[in-house]
Amino acid sequence: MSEFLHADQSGQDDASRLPAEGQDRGVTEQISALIDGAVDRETFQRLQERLRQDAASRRQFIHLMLLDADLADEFSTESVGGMVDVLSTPLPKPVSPIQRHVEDHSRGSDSVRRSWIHGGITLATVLLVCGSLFWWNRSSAPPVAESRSALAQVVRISDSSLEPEFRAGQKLEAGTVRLMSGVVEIRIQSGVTALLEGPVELEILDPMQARLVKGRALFRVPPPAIGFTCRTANASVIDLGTEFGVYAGEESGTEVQVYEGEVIAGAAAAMQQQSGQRVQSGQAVLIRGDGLSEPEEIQFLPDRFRRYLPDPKDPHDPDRTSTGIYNDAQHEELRIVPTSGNVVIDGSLEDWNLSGEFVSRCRPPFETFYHLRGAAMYDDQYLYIAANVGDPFPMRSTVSPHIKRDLYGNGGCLAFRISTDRRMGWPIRGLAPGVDRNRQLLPDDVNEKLVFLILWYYEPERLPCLHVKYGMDEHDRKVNPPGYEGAFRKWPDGLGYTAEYRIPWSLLSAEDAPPQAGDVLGWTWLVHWSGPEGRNWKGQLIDISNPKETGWNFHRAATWGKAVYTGRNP
Amino acid sequence: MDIEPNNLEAFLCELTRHQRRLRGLVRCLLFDPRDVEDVWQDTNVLLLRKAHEFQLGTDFWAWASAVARYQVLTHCKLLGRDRLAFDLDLIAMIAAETEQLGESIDERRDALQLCLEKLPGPQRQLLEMRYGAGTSLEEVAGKLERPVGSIRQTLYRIREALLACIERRINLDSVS
Repeated sequence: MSEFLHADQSGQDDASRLPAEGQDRGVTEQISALIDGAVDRETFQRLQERLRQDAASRRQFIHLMLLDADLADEFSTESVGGMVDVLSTPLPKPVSPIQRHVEDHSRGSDSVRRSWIHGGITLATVLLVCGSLFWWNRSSAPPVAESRSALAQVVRISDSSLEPEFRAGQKLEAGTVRLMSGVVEIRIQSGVTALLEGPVELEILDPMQARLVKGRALFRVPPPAIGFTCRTANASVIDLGTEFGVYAGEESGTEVQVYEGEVIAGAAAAMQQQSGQRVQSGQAVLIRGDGLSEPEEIQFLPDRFRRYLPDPKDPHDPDRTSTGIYNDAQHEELRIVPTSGNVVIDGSLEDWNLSGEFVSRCRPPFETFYHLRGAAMYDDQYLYIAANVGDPFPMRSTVSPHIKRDLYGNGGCLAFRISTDRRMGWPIRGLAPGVDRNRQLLPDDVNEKLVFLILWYYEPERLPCLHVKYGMDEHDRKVNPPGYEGAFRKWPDGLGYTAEYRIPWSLLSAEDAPPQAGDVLGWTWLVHWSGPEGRNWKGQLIDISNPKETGWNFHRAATWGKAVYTGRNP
Repeated sequence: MDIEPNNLEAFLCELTRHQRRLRGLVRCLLFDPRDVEDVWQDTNVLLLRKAHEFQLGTDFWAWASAVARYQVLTHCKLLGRDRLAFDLDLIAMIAAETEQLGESIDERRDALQLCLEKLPGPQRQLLEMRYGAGTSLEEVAGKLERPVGSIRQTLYRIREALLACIERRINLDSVS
């Protein structure tokens, strides 16, 4: 028996006593091994049969799995640089309507508090300040005063020399955070993290409420803190389990942009009447300062808010500088060439005709590690796509194709917007719903031949995946449909990957009239990069675009570049 | 798109209050922690989208757990054959029995808090290593320079002891 069980035992600790007589240790041991991923299929089948037959074993199983969930909740942290126990301090008296309601309705407030408290532990926390000037509630309390009733905490600071009285791990009372420049991330007791980009003022009212006086803040809200509310002078945003950014302008009103999940946003007066508008992932709205108008949809801009902070230990981390991973599109057209014989989809491009290949790189300083060599071929039945992608964290996506989502590319992917409509030719027509609020959807907007593809490698199952959406309105979607083949191969130096796909024209709504030599159709090529965890989007490259058009490729198909289908000898 | 204005706040309160139970239920039915997280999140999204279907004053747990169970069953159908998953009939059986536990799931968690406070330091440290960053058994064994089997056995005994402690706590509460 391990010293872990014997050490520190006084004989009095009831948590370390042996189990009560009569418990079936065999089943318990098997379940424990199952939790630890240490059972073979045969043992699993035996356990399954036992559980099916025996109610007592099922009860033991349920209790053990619930224990495992609670232990994971109790101990887990995904924070980088060590867990900081901001959550061990008692919550101040709740003041938000939501909290009051929770307390009124719960068996007792303790269980609710605990759910918020411990939920925060599971939230990934990455914190760094970039050249920040940061102080906490200067007007009412010494900036370095430790709080016994901390409401939030600074987790990490990149350059403490700029503001030496602050340090990582410092606990913060209720009050206003003012940041003149740079970026800082704080964690609120409820588990919500707030990424503040100076100049900004954020007042934390309680674990479930904050008031953005001015500036930009991005919030990540774990499930236990659903209902977290960010108020501004004229608007309120209620989280529904998400990541969202809020910009409080002094006169222009409030901008809300949702990266993941959804929120309810609206003018303050409307929200008091429990009325608002859902804003979902990929959407942004403006709530004007008059406090009366309905939220207006505005263009979603990925870099409207800073979402990630750098890891100073990671030489490839894009957030080490103030610029993100982006590129300037360099190509208007992609030459898609005929195949030259049989192509084996194996992640090797030796059997490819790469005469149409193009190269695109991200802006400095990321051009060394973040770049693309792309190529495409075609024949009567298939479109072939190949890419060599510079990626310091290649093929790590943990975004499961088995779970229905709007977006599958957060963990790193290739993506394409393609038109196979030979009658339309180029430039491409079609708008996404809501881009022009005064316009009804037109046939071009719902054209099945305007297709969005996401290609990614699902690392847990080593599975090359494909997500297809049809129309600018994305009215139809398929995940890993039959008929395509894909292969990924990591580079020997680990700094990139090669992807190779063969996709039947039938999946691209072109089985009736596949592209022919001489066609000029539509194409935009995207690469998305994630961090080392294979879950969080870090940056992107977009190329093959129409230089005469502006706007987002997912809003306006006119921005797509040309796909020039060449003959045998281009 | 407008939301149902009535009782949104109360709905969010119910959803918040049941987060731990929902996660526990999903954990009882799936073995890969990543699957658990995905389905848990997905269940929340679905519950929010179905918020207008919930009648306040009715049993939120019954409604939400049914949604979670549906999500698990859907997820299991999509799992590859190489993944360990119970047969669907057993999942339904376990789900029903877990749902019946209701508030006692919260009671067990409360009891666990007390039991963990009494847990000897080295045992607690092992739990922190195992659960702290989702560290695998092999990684824990590597860090401690101990055989994997020994770590697995120790974890089993800690869990067993915690279960026994929880039972005692609950029994004490029920008679006091």
